[in-house]
Parts: sequence; structure tokens; C-alpha cells
Amino acid sequence: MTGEEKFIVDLEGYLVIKNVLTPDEVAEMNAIIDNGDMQGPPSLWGEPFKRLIDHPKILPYLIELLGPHVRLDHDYAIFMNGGEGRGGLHGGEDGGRPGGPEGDHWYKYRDGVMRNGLCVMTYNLAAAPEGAGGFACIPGSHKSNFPTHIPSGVRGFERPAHYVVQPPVEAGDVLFFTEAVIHGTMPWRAAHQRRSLLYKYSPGHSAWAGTYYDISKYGELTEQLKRMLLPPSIGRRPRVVDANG
Amino acid sequence: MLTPDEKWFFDHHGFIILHQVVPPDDIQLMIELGNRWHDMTLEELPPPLTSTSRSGASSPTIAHWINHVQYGDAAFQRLVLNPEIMRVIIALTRETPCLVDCALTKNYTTSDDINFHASGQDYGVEKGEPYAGFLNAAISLVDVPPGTGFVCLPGSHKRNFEPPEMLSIYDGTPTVINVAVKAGDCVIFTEALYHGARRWTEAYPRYTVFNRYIANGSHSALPIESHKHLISDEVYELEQPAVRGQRKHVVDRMLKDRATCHE
Repeated sequence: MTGEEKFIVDLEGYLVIKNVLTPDEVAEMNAIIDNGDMQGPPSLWGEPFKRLIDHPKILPYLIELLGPHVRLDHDYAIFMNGGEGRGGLHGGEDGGRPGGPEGDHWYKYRDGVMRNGLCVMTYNLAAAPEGAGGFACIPGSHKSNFPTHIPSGVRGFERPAHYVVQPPVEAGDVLFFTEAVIHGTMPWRAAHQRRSLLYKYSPGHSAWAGTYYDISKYGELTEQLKRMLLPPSIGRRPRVVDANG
Repeated sequence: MLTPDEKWFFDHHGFIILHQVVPPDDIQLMIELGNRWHDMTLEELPPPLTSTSRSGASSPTIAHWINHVQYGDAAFQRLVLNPEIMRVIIALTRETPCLVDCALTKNYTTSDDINFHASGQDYGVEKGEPYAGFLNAAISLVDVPPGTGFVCLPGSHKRNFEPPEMLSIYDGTPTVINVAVKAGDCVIFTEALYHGARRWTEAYPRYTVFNRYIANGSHSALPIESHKHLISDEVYELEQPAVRGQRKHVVDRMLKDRATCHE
């Protein structure tokens, strides 16, 4: 990560990583989606989707922000057509209140090192320009000390607030965010369908999902991918990036 | 003394806006005095008013300011003790404010930009209340439209990394926000927040009074003992060093007045 990227993630709790996927890669994945009734986790939809788990452009961010033992926690897709909504702003540290139910939603910094609990890499297979809706957040709210005081009208997207932002993304961009940042899904307003693949990651010792990946469903896997699909643990857990390859 | 919305807003942004807290008559008077004083040379300013921006160390095109304006007219003392502004200052300083500076700044379209800067990181939350050790109450005497004036990096009072050098006061949201205000509005911000000012764009000059407060100790420049007869006892006390846990009489009075208002 560049110095500016570290500053932005620490300040705002999210980051748009530009041009992770090429136009050809985006087209290939959209064609697979168009031709099938895609169900279940996207990581099981075929090789192009499996490769997203440890995409070489996003893995360095995962290591920097979740540590060297990062694991894939769960993944799913969000497809939205015009007018559809998905509820209001949620998330935040501990799930938005002290001692809340989402103990794995956290952000911390010490001595130059950032670490997070559950995080998301959202692969965008369709553009979400400004005003289109989709992912929105309150930048900086991963450090909020008063999340319960956010006005309810703002939480439900019933009234605009300057501090609620819908970052514009293009097809092929990846949006990283920590679940400690207060976020949600604005109603979709674009003419085209929203297509987002959410790959959610945890540090190696932690899990949000109560079930773990069955690697036998994935066919051929590199050793690195196998390490990323391990259930949570601490003792003798291998680093995702093995110096020996 | 901060509402839940205000606590959330200040903690999140590092600043808060109080709307229309200054009487129009006082605004007009302060502008007239500003016009008079800013046209004076350093030697012509009525003591103890001075202008540290004209000391020679500052750029000649900087937006100049007149220091110690509270000694120049009662209107500025009323501003120092403005109940709405002090409500927030008292809350954020754990009820031990010390007034360290009152400066009347005048910007022209030819005045310099003020690039991002911050002073320390004395901000936190204690017992469910935000606390800031160094605060700036910026009272605008004129309308400041969007595109010019105060800018900041919301949330940067809690930063762990310094902003990159290429970050510009002219960049856009959400990282950089520009705060438009009306005459009589007050933006209170922690000096830990990275802030600056875009070049002034309007035909009329921009006038801002910056009243700065700290929560512990003093900056030693105030009070000016030789001219204490020019300020009220309450302003004089407010300029005394702050001691944690010791409330000044002026703070007691303001808190009592506020409680009486709400009975």
C-alpha cells in the first residue's frame, strides 16, 4: 500500500482499488452470469471467480490490513435492478454499539500497523457511477465514539447527509471496506443491473460465518488458496504467502 | 451540554457548526471596527491591540489579523462570552477553558491560501463525553459561500497517518470538505483537525474572529495585565490559566444561567 492509501484507509475506513479486473475479465464473468442461474457463493462459479479469492492485486492489501494469516470467511453476490433497496446503514465497531453482537467488526492501529476484523473486497462487474446507489458508507465511522447517535432518518437513507457517501466505481474496480465502518446499500437507480461480488475476509484466528469452506468443492487449488480457505485457528497457522512458494 | 447529535457530529468530523449565534448589530459593529483597525499601521493600533502577522516573519500577502481585539471593544468581549459558543467550549474542555487568543482576520481575494495544518492531537472521549485540549471558535462576520473559506479533513483529528503532501485544499469530498457559513455562524473545531482555507473569492472582504481556547494551563500571552481595565472581570478570569478540576467563576455563572433557562 502506498502512504496515501494507508492514510485514506485509516481516515475513512474504505478504499477504491482501481482497475483490478481487466475489461476482458469483467466481460468473461458477466457472460458466465448471463448464461447461468448463479446460486451459492461466487467463488464456486468457476475458475475466473475462484481466482478472485487471492487476486494478486488485492492480496497485498489483505495482508497489510488483516495480517499474514488472512482467510476467506464467506462470499456472496448482490445483484440489484432499478428501484431495489437492501435496508439501511449498519455495521460499525461491534455492530454499531459498545458490546454489540458483531464482535469481529473492529479496526485498530498501533506503531504503524493497521489491523481489522471482518473486511470486504467488493468486485464490481458493473459500474456504479455517482448517484447510482449501491454501496454507501459514513467515511471515518470506523472510529466513531457515538455511533448510536447517528440520526435514524440518515440511517434509513430517508434524508441525505453530507457525511454519507456513495463512492463511484467502474466495472473492474474493487472496493475495500472494513465492517467496522458504518455502511449499507442505497437503492439502486441506474438503468443497468448492479453486479457486485462480495468476498469477505477475516484475520486467521476469527470467523463471522459459522460454517467453513469445503475445499473438495473447488477442484484444483494452489497451496496458497488452500491456506486462505482454512478454518480459523492460531497455533502453527501457516502464513498465506509462503516464502517457499 | 452537547446534544447527542452534537456529540456524534463533533466526534466524527472534528468540528461543529453553530448557526446564527451572533446578534446582527454586533456583527455590523465588529466589521466597522475591523475596517478601521485593519487600515491602521501597527503603531496606530490602540494598545494593546497588535498584529503578529505583520511582524515580518509572515508572508506579505497573508490574510492579516489583529490580535487582542477583546481589549478593543466590548462587542468582542460579548463574543468571547457568547452563551451558545461557550456552551460547547465548556463541554469540550471538561469545564476548564482558558482563552488564549482573539484575532480578527481579514481576507481579500489577493490573500494567500492557507494549506492544511494541525496542532497536535489532543482529542479523546472520556466518560462518554468528547474532549479537546485546544479549540478554535471561528466566528464568521460575513457570508462565506461554497467553494471558498474553511476546508478540513473530517476525522483527521483521530488520524494515525499524516496526510500525503499532495493532498490539496482544493480536492473534493469525502476526504476534503469545504464548509460554507452565513454571517453570525460559528465553526468550532479542534486544532487537532487538519484544516485550511481556500482563497477568498468574493468582492467583499472576509472577516473572521478566531477565539482560541485550551483546556489546561495557558499560552502566557494573556491576560495583558497593563490593560486589564479594558476587559471585564469575567473575560479577565477566562484568560487565566486553566487548572483541571477547578471551575472558574465565569464558568459557574454560565452553567447556572443555562440551567435556569431550562427549568
